Amino acid sequence: MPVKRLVSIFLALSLVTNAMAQKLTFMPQWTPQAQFAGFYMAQEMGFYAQEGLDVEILHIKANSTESILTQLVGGKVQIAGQQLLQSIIARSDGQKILNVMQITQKSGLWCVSRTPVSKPEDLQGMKIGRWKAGYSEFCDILETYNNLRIDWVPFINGINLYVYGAVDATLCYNFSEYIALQLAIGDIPDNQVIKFSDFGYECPEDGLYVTEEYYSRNKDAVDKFVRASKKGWEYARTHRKQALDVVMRLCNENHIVTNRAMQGRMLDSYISLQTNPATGKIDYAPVTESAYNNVVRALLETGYIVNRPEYKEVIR
Amino acid sequence: MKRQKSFSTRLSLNVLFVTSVLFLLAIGVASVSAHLLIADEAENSAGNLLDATIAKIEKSLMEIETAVQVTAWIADENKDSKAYLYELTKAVVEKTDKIQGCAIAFAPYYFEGEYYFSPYSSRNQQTGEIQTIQLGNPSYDYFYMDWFQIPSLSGNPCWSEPYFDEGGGRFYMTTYSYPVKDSEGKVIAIVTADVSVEWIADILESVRPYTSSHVSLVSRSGAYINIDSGSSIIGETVYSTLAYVDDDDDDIDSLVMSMMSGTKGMRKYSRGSNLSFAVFGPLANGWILSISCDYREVLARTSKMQVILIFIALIGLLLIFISCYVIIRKLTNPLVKFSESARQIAKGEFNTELPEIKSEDEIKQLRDAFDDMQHSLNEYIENLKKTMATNERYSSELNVASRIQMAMLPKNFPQQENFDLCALLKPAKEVGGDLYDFLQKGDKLYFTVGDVSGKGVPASMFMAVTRASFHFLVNMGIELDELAGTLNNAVCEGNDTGMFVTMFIGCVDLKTGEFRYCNAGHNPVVVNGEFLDVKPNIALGLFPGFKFRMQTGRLEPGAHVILYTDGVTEAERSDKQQFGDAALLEWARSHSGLATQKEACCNLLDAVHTFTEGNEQNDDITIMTLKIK
Repeated sequence: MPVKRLVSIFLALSLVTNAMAQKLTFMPQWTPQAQFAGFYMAQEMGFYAQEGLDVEILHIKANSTESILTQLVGGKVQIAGQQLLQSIIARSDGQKILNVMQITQKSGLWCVSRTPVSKPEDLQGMKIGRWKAGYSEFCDILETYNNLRIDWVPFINGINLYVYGAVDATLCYNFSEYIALQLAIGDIPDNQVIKFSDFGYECPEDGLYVTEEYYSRNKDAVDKFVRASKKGWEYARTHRKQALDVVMRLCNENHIVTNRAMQGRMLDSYISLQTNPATGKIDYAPVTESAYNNVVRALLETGYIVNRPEYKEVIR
Repeated sequence: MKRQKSFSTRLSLNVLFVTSVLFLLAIGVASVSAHLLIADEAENSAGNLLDATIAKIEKSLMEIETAVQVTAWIADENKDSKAYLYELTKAVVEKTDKIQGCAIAFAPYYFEGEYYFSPYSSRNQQTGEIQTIQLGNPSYDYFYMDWFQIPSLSGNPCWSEPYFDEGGGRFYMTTYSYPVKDSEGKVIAIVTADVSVEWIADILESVRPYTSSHVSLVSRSGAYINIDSGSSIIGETVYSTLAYVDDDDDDIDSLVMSMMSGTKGMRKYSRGSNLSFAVFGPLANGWILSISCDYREVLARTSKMQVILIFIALIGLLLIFISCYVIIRKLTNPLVKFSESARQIAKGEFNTELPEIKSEDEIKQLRDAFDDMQHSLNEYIENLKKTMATNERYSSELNVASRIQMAMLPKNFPQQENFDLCALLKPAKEVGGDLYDFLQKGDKLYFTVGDVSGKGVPASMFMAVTRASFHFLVNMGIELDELAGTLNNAVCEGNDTGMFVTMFIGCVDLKTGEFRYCNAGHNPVVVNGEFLDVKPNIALGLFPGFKFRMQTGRLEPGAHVILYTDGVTEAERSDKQQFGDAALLEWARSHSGLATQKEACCNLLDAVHTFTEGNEQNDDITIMTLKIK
């Protein structure tokens, strides 16, 4: 019977397609939160599956001793969220990693002080909290360029050193710790905040990275992942409530203590960082060569890198 | 037609209305006072409750703080023996129920070659077994944990933010950290006690003053401490919950800001239409306790009281209405009987018996007044009857006088071949003051028309005298001027009342047509449709001895003479328009050809009546017409 035969062929093809779905593990930079809402929505809405990918989103543990980069290079994960700065250093150190998608186009790095401050020089001599997990390169660049001596205090959990008065100021991302601070102690006066991008410390941050080796063998799968992720972000932008529902569900599943107001504000702030200043649109444009060169120059000047990785080696 | 309510109903309703207003005012004032008093009391009680609760929690926290401080001292004294330190943490957990875990965490490399050293004992919530381990390892880098880092950096003990203990019994926990310092003041270790906050939740639940009250304890970063594992506010802060309410809710914003400022206070705030208040104050460790109460629940007791008051008021009002109605009805019952008596009296039964009143009040006064009225009415009616009898007699006598007066005037008018004469007098009252007369002596025909000043009996008597005198003097055969003078003197004599009479006296020689006449202040006569030219003499009876002037003329055959009194020309319609000289002349010109003078007299009278349109006649009307053939 022709109909039965057609159905059988279709079922067989489906099975083959499923069997052929490429497995891929993606690790965002941190534990579940709205910063990664676009990827969650791509998974939730089946955008990855539609591209023929079987994606697992694996979050790093807050107390993990193994960095994301190590896990990427070691092959535990195939795609990872990383900042440009750390990625250039890794590349310079010989880690063959590539940027396959630039998510944020601007820097959301701020410093919140307990006393009024207006410029980086005002941070002289302060005890300032920063992440134990990284981003210390920026602190060194800041100190070198402004001839500052700062007592850096590493922390794991965002804001409590500041709230309990154990530090004079704290570094924070405007889409994360800054919002947590607002929700802990109320509105923070503008004159206690330094936005580093206002002083020329502009560096595109979050992007997606893969190893060169993986990319050479799975270019098609990476492209599909990027395409589906962009679709996921677009969906998150236009379905805020649904995206927040998913974020909160994942937070609960992973025992992340947070609240919806925090995640909602994080999503809004993070989406605004995705706007390309050149076009005014969210287009996930690759990092420009000049922006790349600025970061490389700063890293060379502060001695973080010795070899200069070329733009085309890192940015695809 | 709408039936009028009875006096007693209306008065009772008015009393009910006034009383209701007073009751409402009283209830309103009482309610507002009670509201204010109870609200004030509730705010004070909540403040006291807050203080007592803070003291209670602080006492319990202090027990733990003391235990940790003692442990820190012992640990410091025995830090050379690692095994002792392990035992010490175990003993602390064993001996202190509230402490679920205890750590003595040393700074990095305090012990040579050992980056981490932190003996830690904790109680398994399910089995109650106490487990002791070394806490630090690369996966748990405790130097960067709040409980270690904050007291290390600040050098002061502190209570951590609440956290969820995932390892043990999934309890909501907080950790008290106490820094151990060396002789130089450098922090060498942190001694901690993990405490479940469930007992705090129990305390807070037990002090909840009202069912709808919220008693909350929040940490320095606004996290709720008194929540259980299933609560939806895990992870929320006071500011995050604020984010879910309306942006414009300034009340709540300022409440949270005041609360989190770490000062003690009380604030009122509204959520939608609900007004609430919250008292809040800080604990010594920086946590903030708040108790909120909804005024609706606080004031629920007064609302119940209000309902009872209104119920009592309604019953009171009903009783007042009924008693008012009954009393007024009883009081006004005699009035109903009075109205019946008044109706009988109105029908003419003046001797109707009045109701008996035993009381000595206004009703009795009314009854007396009614009694007086009854007597007065009886007297009045008696007098009226007498007066009416007298008036009837007078009226009858006047009729007689009128008939006598009319009888004095000639009724028979001679129908002769050389003249036709007729006259009529229509008095305005029963007896009038007008007169007319005529007398034929040989070929001479004397005629006169007069008008006595005033009306009624005196005027008629004056008229009778004048007419009798005229008759007498005509018979004496004297000239008309002398006749008028003599007549004037006669009526002047004894004329104390000042009456007078106007007269026109004429005499026509029927053979020759000679016409002699004397006018004593009377209206000019009309001859052939024109007023006769008369000399102005005065009326008779005013000045004795006055010389009257006589005039002469001719009345040719066919001449038509009209004599009249001012009752004709001054006859008025209702709009005060008078008949007038012009209408008289017009009538004279158009009616000279009538067959008889009787017909002419009647016709002129009809013309006057037609003109006055039935308006009441206010003066005597006398008409005399003469036709010379």
